[in-house]
Amino acid sequence: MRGKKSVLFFLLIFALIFSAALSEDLSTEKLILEVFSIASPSGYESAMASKIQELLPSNAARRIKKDNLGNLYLSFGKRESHTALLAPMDEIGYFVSGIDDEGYLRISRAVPSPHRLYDSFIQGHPMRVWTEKGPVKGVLSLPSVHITPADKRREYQESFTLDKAYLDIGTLSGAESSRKGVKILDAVTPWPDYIRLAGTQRAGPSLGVKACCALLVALAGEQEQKASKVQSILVWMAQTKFPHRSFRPRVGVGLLRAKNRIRTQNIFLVEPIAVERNPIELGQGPVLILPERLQRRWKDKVYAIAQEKKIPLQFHPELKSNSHLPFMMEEQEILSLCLPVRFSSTMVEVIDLNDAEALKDLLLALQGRL
Amino acid sequence: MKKIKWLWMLIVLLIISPTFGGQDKNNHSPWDLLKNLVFIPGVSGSEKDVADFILSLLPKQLRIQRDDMHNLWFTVGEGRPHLLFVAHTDEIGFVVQEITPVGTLKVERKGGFFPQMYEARSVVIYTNEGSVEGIVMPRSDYSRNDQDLNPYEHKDVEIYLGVSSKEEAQKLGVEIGDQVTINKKIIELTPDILATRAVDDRAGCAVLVAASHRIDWRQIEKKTVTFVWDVQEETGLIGASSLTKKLKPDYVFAVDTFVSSDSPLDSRHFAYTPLGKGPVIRAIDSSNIAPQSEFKKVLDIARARSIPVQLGYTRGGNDGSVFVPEGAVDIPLSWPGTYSHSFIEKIHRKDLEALTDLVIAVVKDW
Repeated sequence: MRGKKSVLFFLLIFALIFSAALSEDLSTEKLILEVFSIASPSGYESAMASKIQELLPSNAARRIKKDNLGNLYLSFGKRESHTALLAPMDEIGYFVSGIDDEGYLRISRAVPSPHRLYDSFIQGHPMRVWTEKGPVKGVLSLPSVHITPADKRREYQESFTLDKAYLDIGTLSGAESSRKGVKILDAVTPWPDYIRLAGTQRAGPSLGVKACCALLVALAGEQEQKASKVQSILVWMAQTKFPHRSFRPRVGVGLLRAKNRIRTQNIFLVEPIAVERNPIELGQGPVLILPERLQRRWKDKVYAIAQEKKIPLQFHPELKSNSHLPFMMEEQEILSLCLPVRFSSTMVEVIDLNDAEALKDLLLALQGRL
Repeated sequence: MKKIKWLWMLIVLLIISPTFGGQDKNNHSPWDLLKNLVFIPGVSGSEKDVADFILSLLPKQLRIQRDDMHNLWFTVGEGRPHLLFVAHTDEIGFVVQEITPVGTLKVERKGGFFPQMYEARSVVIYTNEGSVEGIVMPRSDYSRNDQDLNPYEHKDVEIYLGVSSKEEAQKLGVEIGDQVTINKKIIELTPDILATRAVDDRAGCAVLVAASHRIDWRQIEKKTVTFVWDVQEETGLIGASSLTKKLKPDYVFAVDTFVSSDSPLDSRHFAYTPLGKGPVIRAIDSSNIAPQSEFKKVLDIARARSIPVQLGYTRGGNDGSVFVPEGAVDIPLSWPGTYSHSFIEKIHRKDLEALTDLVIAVVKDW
């Protein structure tokens, strides 16, 4: 009898632990981490799309529509949407462009480099190749300091380009690399190191973009839970880093596709913004970017809503976003709500979780009120 | 009731089993030892934790000696020849030199490496209060495409912690003198090849620990054998130099990396010793030329025991060389390693295991 009671007691404890784990809501940081771990180079967003659907409440996930470029659309409300919220879901990444006789993989990038040093930051970095058989681990070769002549050392360091990039996956021949499942055009991304800095700052490769993507997921979750009456559409955009050739200044193909597909009057873009190049700071709240013609009408309104909800907000009249142009040409009303990012476009992009939380709250507050 | 007892026993077994409970102290495979050793921070001058860990792994019957610098060694047997095997416990990295008013850290380099390798990378600062994660800041103009960039030098390495004042940095426990390493991880490229930081020279340390368990020290006759784990090799063979006053070997076998050009970016006109083809006798390097008549003895021993061995010339120094002016012959024994002094030093399991066999064979047969 005592034995039976003990078994029941253990079962109860286990059940309590598991049910607590299952019912736990995903915090903003947990959502960011979930999204952060997924590789999503431009043109290779299908794993990210699946992850987004997995993270959404099941009712919302069922309503998701996907276009043939990979953009995801999620509508709330029965009538025509009033507002669209758009976030990118792609990152700058690489793909296998060759496999040499010694088994090394050659890699290329389909999207432009954000700056001259971008590729040099992956030298000596662990990488992953996304094959049909699963991820394959690799390291990006670099010369050995001991046997590199002194006059060549600086050259290697300061003039690294992808023609010197050899991805070492521990194989000795091209055939062996193929046996591991590696094929030309497989996606290649840097190892996703998530770094916990002091306080609420976090860092990692492409963390700015991934956090924006996750915030839209969080927003969808909250909207669904609260059965919000707001008529809106959320869009996760593919190929935002891949510029359309005929549009100047250069804007991502995924953004142009989203613009043509949605017909709402108000557009909110959720995107990262580099603190280095702009008069803004990390940890001081999201950043509002408004086209000049909308500044008079919307700035005070957005500020008033932020103040009412005690949400910190940064604004500078000079800040501009290229992504606004296609929408402005069609007289749509657009603003960007940006997540400040330090060391942007490096392997250690820094965000502040407080900024991310504030951005999510602001997006919720703004819907239906502009 | 019986069933409950079994359930408890199963839980206890799971907890104490090595998989769940951490390092198995009875596992003396050099490969597994290496995978544990690389994670212990030991930047030159801060090797205490590595020495403590090695000490905890060594056979209890050996009389281990330790000096104030944290050099460790034991000697078995008596008479001549005196064979000394040495591996170094230190690794390249930084120590905190200054905490700036805005809470960033200026650091002093320990050892030789490409500074740019650290730019925009995550690092760990080992404080008395625990580990703190940081980032080596990219150069201030890194994202400028409109001007020539300043080259990145060792003096440019500055660590960002996510704070904005000196006081906040100190509250995290950071102090001047704390050691800093890259945020380490092991990348298992295949079941037999891994890439990580500090293979140089934790692999050598692992070989000597593994060998110390496999040698029957009671059988050592008519010779003296000393195993040493020394400090501060990367900053000028300092630990070994101090030991020359205490230890007077006839033969020194430095167990350390052979920097191999078996990689796509290194010139193969020398140092081409492929990974997986066996340990290397480092016949000539930047600090030593081993006499041919002497290293041939190693070749003979290896051949007699069917241990594959490669022979080569590479660059870099070795700890054994400081014993040469004192009268010793230095014959460095190595594994071929690529991407030296990087975060992805690459090593092959077979080379490490065969090197352990070779060390044991030399101890027995010399």
